[in-house]
Amino acid sequence: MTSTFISRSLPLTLAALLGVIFSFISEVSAQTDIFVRGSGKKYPIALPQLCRESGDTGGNRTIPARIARNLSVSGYFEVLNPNAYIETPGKCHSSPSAFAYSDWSVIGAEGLVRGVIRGDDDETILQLYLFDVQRQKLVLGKEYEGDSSQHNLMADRFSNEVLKFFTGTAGVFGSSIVYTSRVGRFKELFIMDVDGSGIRQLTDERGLTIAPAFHPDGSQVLYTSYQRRVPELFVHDILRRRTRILTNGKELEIGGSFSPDGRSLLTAVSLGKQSNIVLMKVDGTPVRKLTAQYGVIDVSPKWSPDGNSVVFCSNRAGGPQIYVMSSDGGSPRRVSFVGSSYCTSPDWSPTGQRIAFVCRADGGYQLFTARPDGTDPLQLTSSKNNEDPEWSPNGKEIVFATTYGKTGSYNIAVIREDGTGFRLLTESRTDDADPTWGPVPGS
Amino acid sequence: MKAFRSVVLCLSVLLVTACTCKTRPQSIDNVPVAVAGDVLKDVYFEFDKSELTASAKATLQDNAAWLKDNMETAVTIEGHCDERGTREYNLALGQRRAQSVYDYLRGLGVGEARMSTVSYGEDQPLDPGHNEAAWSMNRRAHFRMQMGQ
Repeated sequence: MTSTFISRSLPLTLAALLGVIFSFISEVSAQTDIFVRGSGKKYPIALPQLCRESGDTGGNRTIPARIARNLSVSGYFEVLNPNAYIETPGKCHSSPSAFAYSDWSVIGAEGLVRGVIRGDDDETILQLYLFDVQRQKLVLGKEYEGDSSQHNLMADRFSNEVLKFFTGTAGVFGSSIVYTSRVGRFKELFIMDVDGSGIRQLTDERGLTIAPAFHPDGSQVLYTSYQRRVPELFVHDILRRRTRILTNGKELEIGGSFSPDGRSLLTAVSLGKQSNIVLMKVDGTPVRKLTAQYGVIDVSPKWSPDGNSVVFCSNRAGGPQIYVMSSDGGSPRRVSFVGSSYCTSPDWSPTGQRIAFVCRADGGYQLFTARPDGTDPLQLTSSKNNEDPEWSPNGKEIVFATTYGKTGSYNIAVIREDGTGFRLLTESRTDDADPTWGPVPGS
Repeated sequence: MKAFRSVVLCLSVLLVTACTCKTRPQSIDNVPVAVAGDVLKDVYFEFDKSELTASAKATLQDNAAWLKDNMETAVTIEGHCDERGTREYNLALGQRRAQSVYDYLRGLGVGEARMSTVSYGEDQPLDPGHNEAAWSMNRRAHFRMQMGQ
C-alpha cells in the first residue's frame, strides 16, 4: 500500500475565487480554549454525504462515514443522526458555502463537514470543509489528491485537522498500535488501528514475543524474542514483513526503545544478578553502558522527546522506582513519589512535560503521571490492574493494558491524560498487553 | 509422459514446502511447557525478592545431592515471576532468581559447566490463576534437565 498522497490547505486565491473567507490561526486558538474548558459537553456535528461531481468511487459516502466514526471515537463530538438531516444527501451547490445554514442549525448542529469529490479510482480529488454553523462561517478547508485506496487516509487526515481546530492538538487517526497477544501457548505481535479495528497478526514465531516499541518513522517495531533460547532484540519491518536479529549472546536483552532521531536504541542487558541500561546503534552494536551498579535491576529505558534525558525503572534503593538521568548516564534522580513501594514502566510524553508510569496502589497496579522533576503527581486509574502505559503521538492520551474489561483478561485501552475518556480497544481473553503507539502518517 | 513428470515434480516440491512449514525445528524449544519440578524440585521466592529462603536452600541441597549422583545431567535454571508487576522488570527479576540458585548450587559443588540460566519473567506461569495461591507457585526457579551431556 502506498501511503503518499497530495494534501494541501486550500489556498486563499481559491477561497477568494469561491467567495469564502478562511479564519486565522488566532481565531482558532480562541475557540479552542472555550471548547476545552467548557462543561465537557460533546460538540454536535453533522457529516452529510459529499457532493459527487464526477466518478463513482463510493468515497462520497465512505469518507464522511469514516470521519464521523473518528470524531465519535475521539469522545469530543456527538455525530448527529443522518436521518435528521433536512438537506438532500449529496446535494451539490454552486460554491462550498452556498448552502442554507438554517438547514443545519435547526437540527442542532454546531459543526458541519461538507465536501466535493471528483475523479475515478486512479485519481480522486477531494475537497473537505469544516463550517461553524452558529457563526455561519467556513473555518477550515483542505484538498487531497490520490487514488481511491487512500480515501481512508484522507478521511483520517481531515479528522486530525478537525480535532486540531477544536482542541488545539491534532488527532492521531491513521496511526497504529502494536501489542502482544497470546496465540495458544505462544505470544505474538499484533497491529490495529487506533479505534481497535483492523487487527492483524504481525509475527508468527511460535514463541514468546514481547515488549514491542515503534521506530519514530513507524516503519519498524523493535521487540524481544526467545528465538535464540534467551531473550534477544529483533526488528520487524511492518511493510516488508521481514524480521532481523540485532543481538546475540548469553546476556538477556530485555525490551528497548529507539531514540527520537531513530539512530540509536536503549535496552536493558541482564547478566548474572544485575541489569544495566545500554546504548546501542540501531544494528545492535553496543556503544556504552549508561548504568552499571552491581546487583541492581535497571530496566525499561525511554528517551525524553528532546533526546537529552532518559527515564528508567530501578530497584537501586530497594523496591523498583522511576528515575530520570541525562542521556550520558549522569545525575540520576527519582521521579516517582506517590507513596508506593513498587513503580515501573515509565514513558515520557512527546510534549516532554510529563512521565507516565505504573505503581502498586489500591489493591492493584495503577497508572500515574508526574512532571519529569517528580512534582505534581496524578493518579489516572484506581481499580483492577493497569500496566504498560505509552503516550499517544500527540501526548493527549495514554494506551495501556488493563484487566478492567468483562473478560478478566488483559486488554488494550486508552485514557486521556486527565484520567477521563477511558475506552477499551480490545475485548479478548488472550491477554493483550504491552501496547506501543506509532506515529501519525505524514505528520 | 513429459507432462506427467512435470506434475509429479510440482507435487513433490509442494510436499517438501509443506513439510518445511510444518516442522519449524527452530520453534520447538522457543517456549517450554510450564511444568512442576519432578526429580529436581522447584524453589519458591517472596514477592519482588531473589534471595533464597531457608526452605529454598533445603530444597537446593537435595537437588545438589541428586546432581552430584547424576553427573551426566546438565540443567537450565529458569527464573519465573508471578503476573503482577511489569514484564521487563519481572524478566530481570527472574534472571536474578535463576542466578541466586546457580550461585548457591555452585557453592555446593555443582560444576558451572553443567548449569545455565534463563528468565521467562511472568510469561510462563505454572498456575494460570489470578490469586495469591497461584502467584506463590509462579514465583519460582525451575530446573530443566538436559540428559546425556
